[in-house]
Amino acid sequence: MCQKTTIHNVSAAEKKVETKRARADQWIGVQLLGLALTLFLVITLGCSDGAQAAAKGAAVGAATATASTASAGSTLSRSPSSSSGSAVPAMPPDVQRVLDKGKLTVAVLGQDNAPFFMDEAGQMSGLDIQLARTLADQLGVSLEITRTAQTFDQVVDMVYGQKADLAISKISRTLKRAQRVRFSRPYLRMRQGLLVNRLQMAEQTQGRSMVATIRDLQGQVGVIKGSSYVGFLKQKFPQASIVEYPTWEDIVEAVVQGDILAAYRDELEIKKVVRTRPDVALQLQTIALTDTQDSLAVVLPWSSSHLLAFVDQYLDTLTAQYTVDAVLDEYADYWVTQRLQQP
Amino acid sequence: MVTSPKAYLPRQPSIEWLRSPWAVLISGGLGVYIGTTQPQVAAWIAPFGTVYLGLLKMCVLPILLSAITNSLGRLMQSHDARQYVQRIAVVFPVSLLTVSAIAVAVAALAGPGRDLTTETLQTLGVLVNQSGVDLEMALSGPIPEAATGGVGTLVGSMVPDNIFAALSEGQTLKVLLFAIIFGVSLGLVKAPSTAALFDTLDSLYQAFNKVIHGLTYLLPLGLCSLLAHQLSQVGVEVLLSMVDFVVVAIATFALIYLLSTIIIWRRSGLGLWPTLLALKDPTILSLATSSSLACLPAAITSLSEHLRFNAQTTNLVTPLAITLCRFGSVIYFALATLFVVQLYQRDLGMVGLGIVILGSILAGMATSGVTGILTLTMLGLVLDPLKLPLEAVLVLFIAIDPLMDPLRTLGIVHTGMAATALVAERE
Repeated sequence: MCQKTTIHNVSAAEKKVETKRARADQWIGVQLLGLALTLFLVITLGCSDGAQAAAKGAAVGAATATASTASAGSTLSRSPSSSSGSAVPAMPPDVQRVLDKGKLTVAVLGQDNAPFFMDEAGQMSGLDIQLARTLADQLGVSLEITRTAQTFDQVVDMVYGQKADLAISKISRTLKRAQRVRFSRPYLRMRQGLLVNRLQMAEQTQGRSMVATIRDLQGQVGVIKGSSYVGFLKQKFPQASIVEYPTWEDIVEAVVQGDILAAYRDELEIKKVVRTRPDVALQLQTIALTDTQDSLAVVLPWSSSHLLAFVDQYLDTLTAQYTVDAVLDEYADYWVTQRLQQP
Repeated sequence: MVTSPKAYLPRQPSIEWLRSPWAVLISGGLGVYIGTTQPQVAAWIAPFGTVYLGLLKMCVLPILLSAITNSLGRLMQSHDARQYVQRIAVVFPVSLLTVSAIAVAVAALAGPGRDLTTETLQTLGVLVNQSGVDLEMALSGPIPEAATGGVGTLVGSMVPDNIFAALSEGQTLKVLLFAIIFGVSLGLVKAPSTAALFDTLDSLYQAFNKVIHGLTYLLPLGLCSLLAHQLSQVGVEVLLSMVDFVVVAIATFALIYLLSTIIIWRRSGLGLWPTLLALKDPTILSLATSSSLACLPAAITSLSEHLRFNAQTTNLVTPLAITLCRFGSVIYFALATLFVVQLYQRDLGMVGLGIVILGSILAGMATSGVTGILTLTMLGLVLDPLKLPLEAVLVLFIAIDPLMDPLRTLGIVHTGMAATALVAERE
């Protein structure tokens, strides 16, 4: 019932998708028909060896011919404007759109997240901003940063809705997000990490090694509400009880106070805590899980396949491969200033 | 025609001044100056200290083996062994308990690690971060073998399945057990032929004692270079952040040193000044070498020759007290545990304090088989039952260890001598 009403309200874009899907179905039908024909010919003419090859060739030829007509029809109908002949070779539409605007619109999360993107007296800086700036330079356009999104998923939504050309905003590659948008190759490969309260941990070990205790982790583990780590926690530590907090700062405070046993997030955020707050480093143990991953990548709309190739190629040419510790060291001075600002 | 070598020399060149307290004091002061202000010079003269320490350690195993076997064998033959065993069985546990309780009481009263300022915590935290204590582990695959030292390994490390391997690897505990068994069985053999072996062991012991005596002339040089090197390794910033712990530790060691000195003085029956003079060599050697074994010959000589305790008993009991009781480590672990307890703001009841006293004795004794950083990891033996974490604080203790190690060694050697003085009779 509900579905029917939505079909009535389909937008023009969705209609297009609908017709395309129908056409694709037709095309598969034609192919199947060709295949069945070939099989039939092979079986019936199988007894005469010489005729077999010739017949097969003919059948395949027929099938490809039908398929190519179908695909030619679809290209013609999809982009009539680009094929309307002019002498100048056309640019890929996704790149052309950026060049026409004269600026590369990059979506970044509204809240600062050092060392990836931080607003220092109106001036944006950080690893992600640096990356965005170079991409815009390489395209020969100016950079526009939009920071309306308040959650990481909202950043992805902005790219999906084509409100931005791409997003570089400490976005993790997850399969769920990959259903709607495309990811570049990772520009920072991280692992998942745990921030453990040493005192709480010492209560739990009971003569076992730290590794053995972590593997069947029991107790309260804090994660950011609605983040991908809720799912990871259920999968990796089924015996731990999940405590969801609205912000990361709340979780860190709870671990420091010993209200919960551990916090679960990427290793960079984990290591950042002890760097920015060395006074609690004695209470906390950082753990990087070597057989997990949390890779950061550039997010692009699913249609921007050429811009994706451009970004990938740029990331390939980056001489320095970033690691978590290298990034933390590069922004070492920043942590010191952060530390001084604390009461 | 035999002429004395003296005839060829214009006058008797005396090097006795090298053994005077003044020479030791001056070289010690020089060592402290170089170590604190001239780290490059300290590194440059460090090899001399290493050679000196090597020469001292060279004499340890022969002396350990000959002294214990010889004295235990003779003791068994003279039939008054039972009396000494009884005394040892009383003196060692009681003195260990006393020492541990004193350390716990001092640390509980002075409260190092209590109410640290945020700045201090930050400095300590930066140090912990720098040493990279974050753990990297996999969630699947085999669990890596953890190198754990404990009571089990202590017992396991005592029985030598191959005495020559134990000797060549310098595993003191195994050599000690072998010497005890060998000495007892040698004493039980009632054949006159054993006399020859006893004489051989005696001459072996005398020979290496001569080497040790000769080495005391080099003490000022060795002291200067060893002190300078040791002090240049101390991180000043950490030292300042842990200043309350360091001060409490120094005060506790000084208190126990004073008590031990009084015990030795009363037991020896000599005047205070001669007693102090006799104790000079082992004290300075422990501070300079940070190796209790290297001080063992000097401690025996001081007790049996200068203080006139029964040589046979001293030869037997001093090695046992120094290698097994480890008073210095016991004191240090009691202090360190209370520092950790107060740092993590844990409230121990009387039961908890009891665990610290007993746990420190166990952990201290467990250090007898190990060297280096492993010594400090034995702290885990006390912290585990109290459910306190070790890794982060271990970093801090490692950082100040160049300063603490000599004091710990002094505690081991000097209090070990006091325990021996309680067991042994005067000549």
